[in-house]
Amino acid sequence: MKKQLFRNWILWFAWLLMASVTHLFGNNAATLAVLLASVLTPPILALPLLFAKHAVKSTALMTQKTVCADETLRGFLRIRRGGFFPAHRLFCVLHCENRLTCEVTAQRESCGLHKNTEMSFCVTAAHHGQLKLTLSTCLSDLFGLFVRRIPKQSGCTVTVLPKSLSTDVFSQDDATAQPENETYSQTRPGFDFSETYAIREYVNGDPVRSIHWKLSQKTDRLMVREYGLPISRQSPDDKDMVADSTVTGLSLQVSDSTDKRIVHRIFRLLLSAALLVGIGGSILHMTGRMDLWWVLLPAVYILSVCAAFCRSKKTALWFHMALGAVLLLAGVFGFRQFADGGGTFLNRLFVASETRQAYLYDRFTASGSDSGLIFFLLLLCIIIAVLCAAGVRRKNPLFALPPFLLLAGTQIYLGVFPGAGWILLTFAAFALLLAFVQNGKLKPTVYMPFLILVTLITVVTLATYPGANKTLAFVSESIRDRFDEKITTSALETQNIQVNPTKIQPDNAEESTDGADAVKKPEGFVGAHLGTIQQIEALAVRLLILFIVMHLLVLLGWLGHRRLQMKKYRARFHSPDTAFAIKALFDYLIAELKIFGLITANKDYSEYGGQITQLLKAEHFPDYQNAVGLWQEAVFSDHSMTEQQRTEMQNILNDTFKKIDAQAGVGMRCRLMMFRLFGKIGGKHAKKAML
Amino acid sequence: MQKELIPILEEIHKAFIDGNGTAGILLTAILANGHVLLDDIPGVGKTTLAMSASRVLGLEYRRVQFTPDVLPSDITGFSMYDKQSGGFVYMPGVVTAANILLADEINRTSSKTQSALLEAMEERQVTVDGQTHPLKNPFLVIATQNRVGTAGTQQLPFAQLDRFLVCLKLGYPDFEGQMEIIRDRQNGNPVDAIKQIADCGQVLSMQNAAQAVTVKDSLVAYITRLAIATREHSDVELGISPRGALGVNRMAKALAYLSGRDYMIPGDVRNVFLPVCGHRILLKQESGQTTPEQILTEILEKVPVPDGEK
Repeated sequence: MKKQLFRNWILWFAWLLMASVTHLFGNNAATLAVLLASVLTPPILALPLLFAKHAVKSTALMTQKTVCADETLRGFLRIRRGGFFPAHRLFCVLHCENRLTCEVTAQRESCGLHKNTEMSFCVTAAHHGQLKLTLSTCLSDLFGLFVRRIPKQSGCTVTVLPKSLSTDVFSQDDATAQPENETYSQTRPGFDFSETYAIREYVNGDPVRSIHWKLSQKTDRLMVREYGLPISRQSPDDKDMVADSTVTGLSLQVSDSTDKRIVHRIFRLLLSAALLVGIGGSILHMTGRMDLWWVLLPAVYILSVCAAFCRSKKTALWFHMALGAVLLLAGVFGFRQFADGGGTFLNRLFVASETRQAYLYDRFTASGSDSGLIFFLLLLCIIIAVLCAAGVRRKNPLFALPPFLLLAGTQIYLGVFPGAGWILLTFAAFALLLAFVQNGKLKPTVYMPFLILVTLITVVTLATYPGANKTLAFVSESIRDRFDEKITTSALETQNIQVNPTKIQPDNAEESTDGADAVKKPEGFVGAHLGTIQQIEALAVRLLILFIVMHLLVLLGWLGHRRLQMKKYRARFHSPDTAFAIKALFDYLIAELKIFGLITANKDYSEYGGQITQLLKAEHFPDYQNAVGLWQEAVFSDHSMTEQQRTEMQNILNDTFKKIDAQAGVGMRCRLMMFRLFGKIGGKHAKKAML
Repeated sequence: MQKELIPILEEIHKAFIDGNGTAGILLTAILANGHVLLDDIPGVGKTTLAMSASRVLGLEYRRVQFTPDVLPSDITGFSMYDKQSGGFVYMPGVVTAANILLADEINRTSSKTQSALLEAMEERQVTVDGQTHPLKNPFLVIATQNRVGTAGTQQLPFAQLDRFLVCLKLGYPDFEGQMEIIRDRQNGNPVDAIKQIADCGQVLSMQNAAQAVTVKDSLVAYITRLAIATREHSDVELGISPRGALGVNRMAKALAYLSGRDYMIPGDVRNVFLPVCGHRILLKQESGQTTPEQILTEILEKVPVPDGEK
């Protein structure tokens, strides 16, 4: 618990640091708002904890009062939350004390707090005695920064009985009992006379029954036959002796579903990726290598998506490491420009921020509507990020928020406001989608239109934003210049002058990389820097547009491929092989029902009766059964199918679609339409037809 | 449902109130030419079911009440010295005359008497004094046993349990069923009023038809996968034997025929899997409270159902 708290505090401080750095650069109302919000939100959110602690009751309950040693006992932690005030997470420590042996073990667990929460745990005790289970709990706030201890809650006691052999081993029916045991003890004699352990001479005290009379007759001495000891029917004493050498103590397991863990992992990945982007962005900006930043963004975007999508933990780690390496390289590359170390770096930092102010001022006075748009976009980003975080309730989801804000801050500082905002939007939306897709809640048919929409809006906004005309003119000019440059091999200075003919910039670009010069001649530096910024902006917009167009092209290509496949699939409905056509029709029906909510597990299609009646109405069930019957006849019988059966199947299919359409809402209809246009039908029929 | 089988089932249901389709499975087992073990507590209608089935099908019916002093020779017959001819004469036992042999309370007799049934059940013949006598065709054993009061009983060995195609548990009737049973028996036993619908020849032809049901390779693979899954399950000591897998196939074919199809579907296999395999699985001692039924259901959930591809 303490570790977790510590981590959260560190994260918060890192975020505060980032926010203040952003504010230092940006120095406008937006960055100040972000900084203030990040300072104030956690303490404000922690306030309700003061009142919530009395409303939470937690109890540990055991299913049995007594248990044998080495047996597993199941118990429940039942947590009830009353009251009005929110508390986000509950940390509990379950102490387990054996009063006889004085062993104490503790298990720490934490869980989200809902109205009624139940957690199950298992207790196994190696030794007998009385186990006393005590529960101490704390509440934590939304961010996991503050905790509040709850007054001691009631525990319970469990009596652990010594191990004993249950009598029903012997009285079980033989029909379900075991065949003769094959393994016998190698070290001890026992009672099972079907196996001989050893033959030895009689010693005083052996029971007379154990004398082997035939052998005694042969050897002329009194011989005793000892019987075997089957291992699994050992007496309780034997087991105790074995158990003593390995003290297992007490183990507790708290069940947690795996899919939650997966989504949690994705969020962690996205969070760290976003943080890296933020940090990398700031570093690059400080070092003045903004062009690298624009190369970086797509790389980071692709890598983080890869990391989130890949299946195994190991590959995710590799992707992540690659991500880190890319950013690190960029940072190192940027810092190499400062040969003289930190002094010039700081100078440059302040000068750069002044330049920034001047440039922004120029920009805002030129197009007044921009600042309103920035705020709107920032707000939108925040809302989306909050939704993103709140939509998937994870261990500490709101920590996904700072990176998005951070991104917003750095992007806005870069000056490409609408484009940056939309990149953020796509990024956040993509993260949200990813989480749901990984959770298995969304199918491609749902998120594809959304993705296309977002991308389209991005392009449109980019093309129409107030500074676009200027930037596009600049871009076309610089492209033309590139051509000229190739032909005439003109120098960089001339290009600079050509690019900004309206402004007076006597200094050349090389001077801007020299920090010491810049300090000496601030006026000249500002001018030169302004040119560089515009150049960078042009490059950025170009890259961005290129990136989005590529994205769109890939999407379109993929959709076209799907459409083609679907057409090929539909052609099969009229194939001369009737049985094949019926199979294809039925697959199509099942695929559509799946979209509509049919969950197919390892079941025969005829066994989905209950589910079908839930999806459609009960009177449509016979239709479905007919369809299943026809399909089964087509698949599992030897005789060929008639044309009439094909038309029957087609009729059933059409009827079912009508019924589905009549019941579906708007969203479902969109999904069905998407499926009918681009849907993909699984199964091996599709592959076969392709061949 | 196969047309000629509907009146047969209806007639059986006149005497035997069926809560969970046991009569259908019994009829399926008869069509599959397999032996049936009815395993339940006393008084739920095991004997009634066996008797009404044999009467409806017009089969020769013999009943042996197994007690501790029933001897193998009572089952298989024996040779006796005949004074007149001066040679040995074979005196047929109870199996020779029967199409359906009801072995009542089979676990109450000694194990050697139980073993006397082994050859009859598997090879459908008996050998006495080196002479082999074929049995009637069809020959079916419907054995009953109950688990209550196991004192003084001899449990069937696994070798013999494996020879029973299905093991059925009848269970108590529900409220309506119980009322109907009491109502039906106000005026005599309805078993006496059961009419013969089919005869021996018809039963044989139905068995042949059931044998001819088409089984696609995907379903053969499905049955094999199910059998292997029982063998590889961590809680199972002894899984389904090859004879058990064959039994599943036979029963599923018969069920397909009973349902009026000439091809087998995965549903047939799934429906017969529990009755056919429930008694063939031996659990490990560590498995605790789990029953074979739970494990089989789990396997049915786990093994993918064929979707028609090979």
